[in-house]
Amino acid sequence: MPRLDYYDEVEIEDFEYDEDEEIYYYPCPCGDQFQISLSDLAAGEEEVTCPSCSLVIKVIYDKEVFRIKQEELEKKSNKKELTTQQV
Amino acid sequence: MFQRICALEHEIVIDVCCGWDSSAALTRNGELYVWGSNRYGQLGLDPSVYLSIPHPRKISFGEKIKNVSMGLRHTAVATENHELYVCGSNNRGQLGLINPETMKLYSLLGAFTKVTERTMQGNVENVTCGQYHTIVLTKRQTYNIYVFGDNKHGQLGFFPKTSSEIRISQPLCILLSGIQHDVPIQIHTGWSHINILSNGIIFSWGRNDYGQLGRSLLKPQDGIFMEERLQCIEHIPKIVQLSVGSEHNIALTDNGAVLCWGWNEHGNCGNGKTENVLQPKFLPVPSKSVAVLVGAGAGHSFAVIKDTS
Repeated sequence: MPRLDYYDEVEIEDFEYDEDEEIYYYPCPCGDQFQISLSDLAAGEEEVTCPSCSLVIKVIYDKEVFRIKQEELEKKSNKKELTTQQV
Repeated sequence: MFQRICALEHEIVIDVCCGWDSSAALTRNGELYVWGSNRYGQLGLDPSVYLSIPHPRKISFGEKIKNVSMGLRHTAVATENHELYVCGSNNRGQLGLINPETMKLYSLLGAFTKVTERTMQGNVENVTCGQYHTIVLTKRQTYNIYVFGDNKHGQLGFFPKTSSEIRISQPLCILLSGIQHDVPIQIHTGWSHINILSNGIIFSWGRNDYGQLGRSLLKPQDGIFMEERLQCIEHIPKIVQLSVGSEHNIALTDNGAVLCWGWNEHGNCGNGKTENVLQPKFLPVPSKSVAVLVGAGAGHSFAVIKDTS
């Protein structure tokens, strides 16, 4: 069931991405931040929650782009693992 | 714990304001200091050179600054010479400027840039930033307001009937019907609702799904609830000072009482509950004391209380 009571609908471009954590952040009116991981986005999730609030936003993004992005990241880390194993 | 900002010790600071993760201070001499995140150029500096500024840095304008306001990711200042300067993110048109060469929106501006007089009539008196919008008070014989930026929630004073009305990228004059035009007005804005304080009366418009406008009689229906008519909040005493948080409000009355309304999930309306407060409610002030100052943050509020015994 789609929710009707999203606090807002926000494009992924308006989120700030933390590359180390692989998490996208967006300001919440409570002072904390809405957050969603790259892998959740790759899995097609579009509801983004805030750890301090009941508020939920919907993220607008191209799911296909994120699925491919995630696959590429996994390939990279697999390659790394392989090289480490060889050593 | 509160920390003293040593870099400002030798200045007399008369005002401070905060964006999401950036700050500004205005001195008595009309000088501007900025610090914090500059990811979108919101400090008036090139974000490809300075992603953030850890200590207050003075920004030169060549003229005195009268007031400064910060949105989530943009900044606006009004000068003593009645000029308006803006910088930072322009993703919703909140800078009010179009690139004259390409006729397209700037994505951001990493330097304070003047909004030309051509787009607004009268002298710029004051500027206030919401989350992604900007409200400018001008005076030419009478007071007028110009608005630009995000209008998704009707925060610019009218329902967005077409997609082009969701984002207003150049200053648009809004008629203030029902407000006295020859006395100064104060404009306060939350993330997406507006309060105008005029002669002790509060007028409001914009997003209202948490009771932000303080004049709901009915529970908002599903979906975004907003109000484009500028109406006053009735049946409350004269207001002398007002502070607006992200989605809630706190006001000080002329006899030292405190009123709160709006979003209350975090107890930010101070009534001991967490249900949203749809109309202004008095907060208890200790006996033999009066409130003298009120303030609101994102999900919190404060009041300064003075002992009168």
